[in-house]
Amino acid sequence: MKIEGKFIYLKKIGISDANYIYKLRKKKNISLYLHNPPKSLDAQKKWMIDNIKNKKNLDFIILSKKNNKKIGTIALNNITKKDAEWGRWISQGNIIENIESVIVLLDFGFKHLNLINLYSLTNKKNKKVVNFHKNTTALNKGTIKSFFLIRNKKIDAIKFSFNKKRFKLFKKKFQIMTGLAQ
Amino acid sequence: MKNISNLKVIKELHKIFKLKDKNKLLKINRENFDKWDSLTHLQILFLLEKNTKKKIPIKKLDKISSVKEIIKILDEN
Repeated sequence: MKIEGKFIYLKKIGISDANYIYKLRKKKNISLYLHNPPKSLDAQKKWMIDNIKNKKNLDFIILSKKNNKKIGTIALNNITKKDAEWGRWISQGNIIENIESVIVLLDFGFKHLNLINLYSLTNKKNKKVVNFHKNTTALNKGTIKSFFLIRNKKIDAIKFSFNKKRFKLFKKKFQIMTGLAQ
Repeated sequence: MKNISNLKVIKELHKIFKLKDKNKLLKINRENFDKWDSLTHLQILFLLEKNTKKKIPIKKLDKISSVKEIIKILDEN
């Protein structure tokens, strides 16, 4: 099954993507907010092997339909019968590709995995991403104290959650703004 | 500012950026203003297209990094 939108598509992550992900996560402005930046390419590969085996996680590479180039990563983690965390979102395409990657992932979670809630946990200090969530139609579920451990510092997470209804509103908002609404 | 409709856009920008002070609004840029996230940027695209009645190329949109540049685009159109 192809998981795709108008501008991007998602491909399940494989070990052959390790080098790309390693380089992506090492970027200074990105690693700043990661609680586990990779120490080496080998460490990245080992982590990926374990992660791929974990049936509760689905990690994807985001690819642009324009040129089939990898533009980032996104994932569903801790998948249960009713919910999952969406995240590991690093997208470096254009503005529409980046946002569509979220829409496509959430659509997949609700329609194909039949989940009820999809939530995110964002580093409180990553204000741009916190604001992104605030600007969606997701519900703010509050702060989880000391959720992340980054460079030995405990940092709070902010939880946002979509149900199907709220996601539909977000998708519609995106479609209107990008002229995709029918 | 070219005309009244551009003043309307400024009002919209105040709303989008949740900022009341006009001087502050004119000084903000994408890099240093936390409320300027990717969805906000998409709202700007929508606003520009609605007001210029022209399709803004994504490449051009991605390069916009300040309110002054938004106003410049409005003035050009």
